[in-house]
Amino acid sequence: MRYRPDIIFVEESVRGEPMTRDILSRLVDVKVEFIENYQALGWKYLHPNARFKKEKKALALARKHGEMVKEVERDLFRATPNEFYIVHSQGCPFDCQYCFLYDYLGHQIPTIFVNVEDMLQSVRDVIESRPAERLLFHTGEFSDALAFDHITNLSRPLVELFARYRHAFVEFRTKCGNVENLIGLQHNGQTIISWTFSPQRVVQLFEYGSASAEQRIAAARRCQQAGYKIGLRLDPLIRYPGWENDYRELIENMAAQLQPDLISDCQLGVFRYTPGLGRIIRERFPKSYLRLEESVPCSDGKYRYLKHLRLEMYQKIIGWLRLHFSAKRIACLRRQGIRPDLKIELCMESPEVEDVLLQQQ
Amino acid sequence: MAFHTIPLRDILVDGPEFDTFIFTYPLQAAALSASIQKVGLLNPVRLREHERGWQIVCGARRVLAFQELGRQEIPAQTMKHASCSDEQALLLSLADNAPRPWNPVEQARVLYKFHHLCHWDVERLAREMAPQLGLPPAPELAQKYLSLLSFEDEILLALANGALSPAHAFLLIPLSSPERGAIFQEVIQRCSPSLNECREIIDALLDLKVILKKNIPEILQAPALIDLLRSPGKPAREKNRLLREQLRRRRYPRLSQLEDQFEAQIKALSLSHQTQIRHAPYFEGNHLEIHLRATTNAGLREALAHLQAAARRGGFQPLFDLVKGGGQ
Repeated sequence: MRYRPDIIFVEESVRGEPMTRDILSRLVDVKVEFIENYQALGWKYLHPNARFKKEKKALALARKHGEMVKEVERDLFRATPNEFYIVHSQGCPFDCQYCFLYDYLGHQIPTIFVNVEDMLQSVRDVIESRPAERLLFHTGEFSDALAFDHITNLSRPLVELFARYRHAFVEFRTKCGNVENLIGLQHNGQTIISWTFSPQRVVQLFEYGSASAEQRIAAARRCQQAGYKIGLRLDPLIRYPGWENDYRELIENMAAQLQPDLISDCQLGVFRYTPGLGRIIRERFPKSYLRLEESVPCSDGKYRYLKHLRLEMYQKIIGWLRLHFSAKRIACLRRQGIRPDLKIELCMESPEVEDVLLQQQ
Repeated sequence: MAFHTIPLRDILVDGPEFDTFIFTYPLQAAALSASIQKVGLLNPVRLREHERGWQIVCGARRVLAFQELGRQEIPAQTMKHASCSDEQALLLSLADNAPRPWNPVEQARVLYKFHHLCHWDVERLAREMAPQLGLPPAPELAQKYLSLLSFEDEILLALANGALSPAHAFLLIPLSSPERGAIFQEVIQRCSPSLNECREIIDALLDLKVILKKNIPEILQAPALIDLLRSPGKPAREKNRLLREQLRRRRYPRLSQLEDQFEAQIKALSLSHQTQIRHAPYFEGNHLEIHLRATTNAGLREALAHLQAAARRGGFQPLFDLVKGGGQ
């Protein structure tokens, strides 16, 4: 279901921005309230469930001050050179139980930064200042990359901008099927669309409001038909009774429906959480299974499943990915003279776990 | 406002109207009775006209003390209902109490009454009322104080007399009444946990409630736990440590099993007490740490020889297997 707010808060300073006018013209019957500063919004004294429900029904249009392109410092365990975030919005209309934004943002009101020209110029500046390096820009770190695209149309100028540079790529990471704007654009292979792929049971239990597993696969197939490479993101991997069957079926479905030669890479990461997020999950969903598996604090301060449980998950998932994707992919890619292995990376995982997995391969 | 002597029988001292404007908790008149008997009433009470009699605005303890002393009437300043709104009455009562420090229940009662009678929202309570009560002007905190008043009398009394801190009490807010009662009686009163320890215990109990599909009082009534908690000989700190250990083993059975296996493997090596073998916290590392303690060259040689012999036998391999894969 497409996001539509009940109220729009507009910073006075962005009343005249073209994107503000565009968005308000698309949402003419939504109540508008002008404010000084989006950061002062929110209903922090409410119980998190009531608070987040109320906040997610609002939308804020604001000016992003400071950096709109930030270098990635996501993974304490591994350097991520030449990777950047594009900060085009923050907060998300979906309500995933495990979302780190609940412990990261001051409020959960989806906020679109409408000074788009500043953002595009910042992106151009970075790309042109580093012409000899392969650069990757992420757009889905502080929000779902495409959830607002029917309101903002932001994907269009971004895809068109990146299509002009051979050394820079943009990745849209999403859990939705909102891909209409992408179809028919001249992307020149510089845009990767990535989905968090989760078994339908995980979508139903933990990822409220997002597209179903089938809708995500269908949207990915549609993008592949438009020539885009897609990224497989099985992150977070969640452990619950029956997880093995569900993930194996998901991988079988993906392999049956997606073109293996148009997959850029696959990233795996287990569910992890800060102590603050753990408290929020407990308070919001006291009966949820999400936190009940045995998790321990790791060296980056986040809680993860016990190492031997993580290893078991990675070993099985990697095995199923290789089983269901490799043969098809090898046949496709050998014909094109491309390295056939499906590139699988672990996301935010400790070197110790990577070492054990490498020794076993 | 007028000064009168009002018959005590005309003052509302029961029913919901009695404590509409009263913040004092607990409401005990005994100490005041002695003082009144000795030096008399220094300040008249303030009463507001009510359809069934007079409603106390200021001086509930004075009225109760007069009752206790068997007096028939009390000096009072009286107000017409129309000339004193609920909000004005609450502000008068607040001013009457202001010079003394508030206990947490009284702070909660002040916030609650302005919230419910005068419809102040939480943000206004935090901004305008919390500082007058010595609280930080934080809406989240005001909301927590409002929640305290749903607690049972036993817990409120402990909160009012300082036996329970507000921070401890806030941990009890998400719990049901029986859960709150069980944790207060069996855990807080018997084990005196620090705030972090209390949070750890409640978190473990909430998780076990879902995992075991049992309610918290039931979990605490398990024989091993109840024997420990009610053991008369054990000091509170010891009960606290053992309770947390037992809950941890139930909450984290796989981790506990790994730790037990690790300890069993170390015992099988039959090393001297001068040698300690440790794994990384929570088995996150793939390595073993070996600590040797020696006071002489000969002692060091002996300890190293033991270690070498164990390594030659392959005695460390099960430990490496455990830390690397956790015995998958």
